[in-house]
Amino acid sequence: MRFLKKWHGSWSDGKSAASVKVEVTLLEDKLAIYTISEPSVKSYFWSYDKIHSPNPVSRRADHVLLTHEDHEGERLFIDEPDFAAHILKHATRITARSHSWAMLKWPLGMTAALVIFWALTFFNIISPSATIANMLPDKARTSLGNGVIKTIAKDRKICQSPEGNAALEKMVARLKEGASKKIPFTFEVADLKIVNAFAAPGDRIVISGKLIETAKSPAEVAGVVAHEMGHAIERHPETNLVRALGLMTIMQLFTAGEAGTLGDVAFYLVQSGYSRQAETEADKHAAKILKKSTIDSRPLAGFFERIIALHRLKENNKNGGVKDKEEENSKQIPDGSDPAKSANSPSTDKKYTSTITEWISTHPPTNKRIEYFNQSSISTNPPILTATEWAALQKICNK
Amino acid sequence: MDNQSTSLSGQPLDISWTGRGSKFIGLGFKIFFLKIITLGIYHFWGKTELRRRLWGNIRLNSEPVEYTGTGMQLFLGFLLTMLVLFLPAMLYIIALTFMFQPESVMFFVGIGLLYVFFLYLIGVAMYSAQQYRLSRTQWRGIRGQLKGSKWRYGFTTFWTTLVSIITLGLAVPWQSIKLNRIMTNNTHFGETPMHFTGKARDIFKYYLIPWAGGIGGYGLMVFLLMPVFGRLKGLTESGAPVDPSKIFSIQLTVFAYIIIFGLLMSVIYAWYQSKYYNYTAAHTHFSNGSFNLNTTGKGLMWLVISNFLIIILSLTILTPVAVARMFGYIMNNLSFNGNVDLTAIQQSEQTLSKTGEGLAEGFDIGSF
Repeated sequence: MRFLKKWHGSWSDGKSAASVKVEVTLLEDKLAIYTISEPSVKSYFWSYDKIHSPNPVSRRADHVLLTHEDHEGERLFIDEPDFAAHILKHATRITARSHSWAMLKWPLGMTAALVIFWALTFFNIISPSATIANMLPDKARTSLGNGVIKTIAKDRKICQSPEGNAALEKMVARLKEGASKKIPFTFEVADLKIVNAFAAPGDRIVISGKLIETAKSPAEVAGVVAHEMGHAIERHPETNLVRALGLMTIMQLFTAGEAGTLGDVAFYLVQSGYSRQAETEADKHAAKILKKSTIDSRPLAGFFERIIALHRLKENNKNGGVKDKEEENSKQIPDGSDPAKSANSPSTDKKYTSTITEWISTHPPTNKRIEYFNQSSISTNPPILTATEWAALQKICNK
Repeated sequence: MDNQSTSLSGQPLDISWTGRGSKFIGLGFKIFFLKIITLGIYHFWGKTELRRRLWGNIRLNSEPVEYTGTGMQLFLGFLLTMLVLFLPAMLYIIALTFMFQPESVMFFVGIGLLYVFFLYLIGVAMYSAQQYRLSRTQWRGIRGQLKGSKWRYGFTTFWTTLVSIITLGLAVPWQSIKLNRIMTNNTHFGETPMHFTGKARDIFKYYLIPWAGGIGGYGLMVFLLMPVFGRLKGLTESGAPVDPSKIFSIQLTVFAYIIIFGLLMSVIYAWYQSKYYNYTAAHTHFSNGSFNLNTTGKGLMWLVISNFLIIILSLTILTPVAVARMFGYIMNNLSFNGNVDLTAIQQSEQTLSKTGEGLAEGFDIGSF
C-alpha cells in the first residue's frame, strides 16, 4: 500500500464551538478526517467536488479552512504550510478562479442586462415610462390631469360663455367623430395670456384663449386640437409625467424637497415637449382625425408658418439687443414645432425663460411638418363653425 | 496547529489579526475597477469581498473567523428597501404635491413627517445591518446573532437622539451607553449571550472635555469668522459687480477655519473615543470572561487622520486599506480576560434571512 501523507488540524461539528484534533489524508476521490483526541477514533469523509472555502485558497497559503456542502456547519482547519498545494489538486471550488467567477457572474450578468435594457429604451424598442403610463387606471390619470391643470392654470380661470362653449362643443364633436379611438376627451379653454394648448393626463385638452384669439380660422384651432388629441391617444402626457415624476421625486428625496415641486414637473410636462417620435405620432393622428372629419389640414401648416415667423422675429430682436423685448417674446412665443408648448404659471415664468429659449434652439421648427400638413387635398366641408359661432369662440375669454 | 483545539471547557480565548493595511491595496483597485465596468453594481459584491478578507484575518485561538454573507443578499436587500420604502416615499411626495400647494404649510408638515419617519428608520437600519452581519459571522461553524427588536432599537435611537440634541450634546455618553447596552446584551455567539455592565456616569467625566471644547471651539470659530462674513455682506450689498476672486478668498478662509476646527475637535474627540471604546470593551462580558481593549487617543487620532488622507488622496479607491487598518488596530489591541466554555456554546437556532441590510444600504450606513 502506498504511503499517504498526513496533515494535522482541527475539526468542529458546527453544533458547538468546541473542536477536536484530527489527522487528514487525501484519498483518490475524497478527503478523510480521523479524530485523534476523542476516546475512540472516528472517521469522516468529504467528497472533493463539494468542498468549499470561505476565502480563495492559494498554493502558498499557510493555513486552510474548509467546509463541505453535505456537512453543514462542520469546519476543517489545517495550518500546515504544504496542505494548500495538495488540496488544490483535488478540490476545484476553493481556487481563486472559482471564487472570482462566483463573485463576478451575477454583477456581470446584471450589467449586461442593464446595457441591453438601456439600448432597447434608447432605440425606442421598449419604453418603460409608456408601459407604466398605459397601466395607470383611469382614476389615477384623471387625478394626475387635475393636478397638472391645477398647477399650470393655477390662478387662471376656465373661460365659459354659452355661445363660446356651444361653438367649442360643435368643433370638438366633429373631431371626436374623426378619432379612430373612442376616448372620452374633455376640452377646456383656459384664460392663459400665451399662445398655447396642451394635453393633460386623463384625456384632457386645454386650449389657451390667446391661441383661439391668434388663430385666423376655426380650422387652425381644430388642427392644433387634433394634434393634442393625438398626444392624448398615445398617452404621451402620462408617459412624460411618469418619466418626469420618477426623476423629480428621486431628487426630492435626496434634497429635502428642494429639487422642485410638482409645479416644475407639470411645467416640464408641457414645456420640455415630447420626443420627435412622439410629435410625429401626434401629427399622424392629427392628419387622420382631420381627414375623417373632412377638415383641411393646410391651415394648420399655415399656423406653423406664422409661428416660425414669430420665432424669427424674436431671434432678430435678440440679435438687435432689445433685452426687454426678448424676455417678453420668450414668454409669449411658443416654440415653432408645436404651438402647444408654451404653458407657464406666473411663478414659473421667469424661472423657465431660459429653458424655453433653449428648447427652441434645440428643437427647431421643421419644414417637414409643414409639408406634411400641406399635403392635404380635401377642403373643409361643411364649415367647422359659422361666422357667428367663430366670433363667439374667439371671445370666450373676454365676454 | 493550535494546541487549544480540544473540547476542554473553560479555555482562554486568544484574539489576533493576521492582516495588514497594505495587503488591501490590490483589493481596493480591483473593487474600483469592477464597480466601473459593472456600472456600480459590483458595490455589493465588493463589500462582501472586503468583509470576507477582513473577517478571515481575525483569528480566535488561531482559527479564522468567517464571513458567509453574499453580494446577492446585499443587492436584494437594497432592491427590497427601494421597493418597500423609497418607492412608497416617492408616491407619498407625489400625493402631497397633488393634495397641497407646494408652498403651503401642510406640504412642509407632510414632508417633515416623512423625514421624522426616516430619522426613526436610521436606528432600525443600524440594528438590522448588525443583525445581518452577525448572522453571517461564523467561527468553527457557529453563527453570531443579534436578538431583540430593530423597531424598538430604532425608537430608542430616535428619542435619545432628540434628548442629545436638546441637551446640546451633553447627553451623548448616556445615549451611547444606552444604545450599546441594548446592542451588546442582544448579541449572541451561538446561543450564548454577551453581557454589558457599563454605566454612563463612569465615562461622563471624560466626555466633558471634548464637549466643552466643542462648544467653546465652535463659539470661537463663529467669533473669528464674524469679520469674514461681514466682508462678504459688504461685498454683496454694495451692489457693484463682485470680484469672484474676493469671494473665493473668503470661501477659502471659511474652509480653512472649518478644517482647523475639525482637526482640533477630532484630536480631542479621539482621546474621548479611545476611553469610551476601552471602557465598553472592559464592561462587555462573555462566558466566563470579559474583553480588554487598549486603544490610545494618540493611536486612534493618527489612525483617523491617516485613514482620512488615504481615502481622500486615493479618491476613495483605497477605502478598503483604511478599513483594514481600523480593523487591525482594534483587533491588535483587543484581548480576552478569563475563560470561554466552548462546549457550552451551541449553534444559533435563528433562521437566516435571505436578504441583507437593505435599509442600511439605502441610508449608506456602515462603511465596510
